[in-house]
Amino acid sequence: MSVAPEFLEQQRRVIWLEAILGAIGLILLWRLAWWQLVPHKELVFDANRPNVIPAMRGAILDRNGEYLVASTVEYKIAVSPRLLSEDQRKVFAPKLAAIVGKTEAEVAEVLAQTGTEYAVLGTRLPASAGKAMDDLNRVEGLALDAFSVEPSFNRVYPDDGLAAPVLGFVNLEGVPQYGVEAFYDRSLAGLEGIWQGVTDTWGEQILVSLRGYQPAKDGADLVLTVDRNIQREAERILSEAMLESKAGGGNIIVMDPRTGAILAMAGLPTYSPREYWKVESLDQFVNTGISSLYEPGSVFKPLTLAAALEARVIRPEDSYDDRGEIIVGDRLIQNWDKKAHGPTTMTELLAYSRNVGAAHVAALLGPTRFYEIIRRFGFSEVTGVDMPFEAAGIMRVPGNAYWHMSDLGANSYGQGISVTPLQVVAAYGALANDGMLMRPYVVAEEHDADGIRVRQPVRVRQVISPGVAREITKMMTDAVQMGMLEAQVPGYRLAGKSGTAGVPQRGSYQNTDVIASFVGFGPMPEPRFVVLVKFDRPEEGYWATEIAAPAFQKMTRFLVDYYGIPPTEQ
Amino acid sequence: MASRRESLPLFYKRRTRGGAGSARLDPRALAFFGSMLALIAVAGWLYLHQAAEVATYAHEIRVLEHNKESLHRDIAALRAEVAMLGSLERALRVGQARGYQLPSAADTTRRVRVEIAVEPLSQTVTSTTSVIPITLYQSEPVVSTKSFVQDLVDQFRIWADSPASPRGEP
Repeated sequence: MSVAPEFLEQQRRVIWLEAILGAIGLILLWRLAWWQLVPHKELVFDANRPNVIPAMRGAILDRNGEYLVASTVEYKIAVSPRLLSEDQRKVFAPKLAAIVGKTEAEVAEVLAQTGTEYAVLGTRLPASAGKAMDDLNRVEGLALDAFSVEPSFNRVYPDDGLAAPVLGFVNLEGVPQYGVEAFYDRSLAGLEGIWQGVTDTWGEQILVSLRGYQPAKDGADLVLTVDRNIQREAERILSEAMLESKAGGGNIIVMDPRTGAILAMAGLPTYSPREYWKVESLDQFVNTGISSLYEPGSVFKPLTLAAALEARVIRPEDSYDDRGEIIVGDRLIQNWDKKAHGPTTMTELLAYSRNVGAAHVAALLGPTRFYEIIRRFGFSEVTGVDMPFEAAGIMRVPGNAYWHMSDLGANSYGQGISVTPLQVVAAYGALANDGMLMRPYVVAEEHDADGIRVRQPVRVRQVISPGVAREITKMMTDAVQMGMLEAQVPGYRLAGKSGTAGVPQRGSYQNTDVIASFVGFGPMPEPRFVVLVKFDRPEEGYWATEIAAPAFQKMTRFLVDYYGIPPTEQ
Repeated sequence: MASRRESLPLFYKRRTRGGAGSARLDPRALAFFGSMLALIAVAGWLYLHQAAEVATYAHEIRVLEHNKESLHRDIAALRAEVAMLGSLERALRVGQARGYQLPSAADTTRRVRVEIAVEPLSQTVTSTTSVIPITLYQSEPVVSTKSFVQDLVDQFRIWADSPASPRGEP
């Protein structure tokens, strides 16, 4: 049986066809295997790389709801000159110049870089620039491939340096530094969202699963306890007084003793968060109100007396014989005027700031009870304020290797001990608040999509009994009227104490360098604020009553006026 | 022989009768493969239709997402604008430009001091209104309560004595 030739021809053709198709199939198989195996990781990475949806950083507001820091959107506009024709360059140059705020020649120069793949036309451009680019694209049919408009969130500071040490700042890399910005970064930053899908031939990501989309969660807005009006006045008073006294630095802190809410925290020298890189020294970023240690000096005396009253070692009406000097732990202690004053009441001790009297009271009290009560005031431990880099202070106590009995005498009037201004404010707050120590805080509320979280004041501990607190308050009030009239505001009863502390240098105190401070609270009978005023190394003037007390008076006068507190005395 | 028959191309079958080597199309095979082709086409069309629909929705979602991001950025920009416009620095600058001055906290003349002279009450109740004199230590106009009441009474009398509207309208 023979086979017809046409069948053989057909068979031959079919074999060829099968061979060609098989070869094509093999090539496809090989290519498929190659793509699956060789660049697999890169492809998977590219395919799975999600588009990040940026979250807006929360704003920071003062207690009245006024913005202290806000987020804004800024744009970076870049171009790929290679992708533009000569005609397009000529047409777009003047329009782009108007958008990015440069001259036409400057923009034309950038567009002429045809060998460049990516050239920046402008950075940190306002929202209007982004909108203008959108309009340009809509009207001109602009080749979007050639231009990139990249939005980013940045910070604006409406009042520039106001409360800068409290607020901190966000640097150009977007990293929060110092202050509330750093401490509350987790709340402020929010959560970035993602958009993940498959990429089409135009490069657009198509969402194929709901799991690929997570919306961004904006950061919480923080409402501070700080009042920007009080803060501004504190900074103004501090600045003026520093100019007069030629002090190297200074602080004013205002706190509500009933809650621990900080109403103002001014520290100079400071910086502009808008141009933070222009500081002369990195020390300017430090919030000296919580991070800098100093010897408080005589402002410590009311605390020594409060401890003695609490321990029932003395009574308010007691007096002692001031002989001008006393030896505690082999160390001679003298009054600041090197004089003896004879019988002196406890109120006079405060009014005229007798070192001998304070050392005498501390000696009566003994080291154990003295340090125990002083510790209860919060010294040598952080206050727990919600700001970073808080210092705990240094206080040598019995049992420490370097403690000596002479420390008791020196500590009684605030020398030989290191504290932060905020610790002193908190301790005085306890005196004003019936002996209850409150934890200072600056953030009152957090507002986010889930609601409002209100921060409640925190009671730390009852340091002294309410009765003793009232006794020492009365003594301090009388002392102000008796010996510190520079701090007195007519019509109001204020309690306070001045302190002129030597600055230790190489183991001894120099008379040239002092820290002058005044701490007080009022108005009586229901204190609404504690105010600390401190000047570092003033060159004009020496005593705290000359430098710090008048500033305290100005601040207090502003506060009673601002809060509309009626005078209680004629 | 069987191997030769099997080696015939697709859709062809050997004639059982007729000339040597002759073959004809197999209608059953054709119908089968035609149906298969149609089914594949339908399945392909369904797939493409669904894919196109998914792509359309995805695009719409993407556009909405773009709009949302754009609005989000607008909100941020507006908030920043509100912040800058409400700044204390600006308020003080604008106020100063308009001639306003911040009052001094020590300036107590800004406070209105009202002193009320309390007189002993008379034992008998009279029909006349007793007025407590009020002294204001400010340059504000003093409004007399007596004249106000008198004015009111006078106005009432004028209204009562006025003729009624001829058309009876109020």
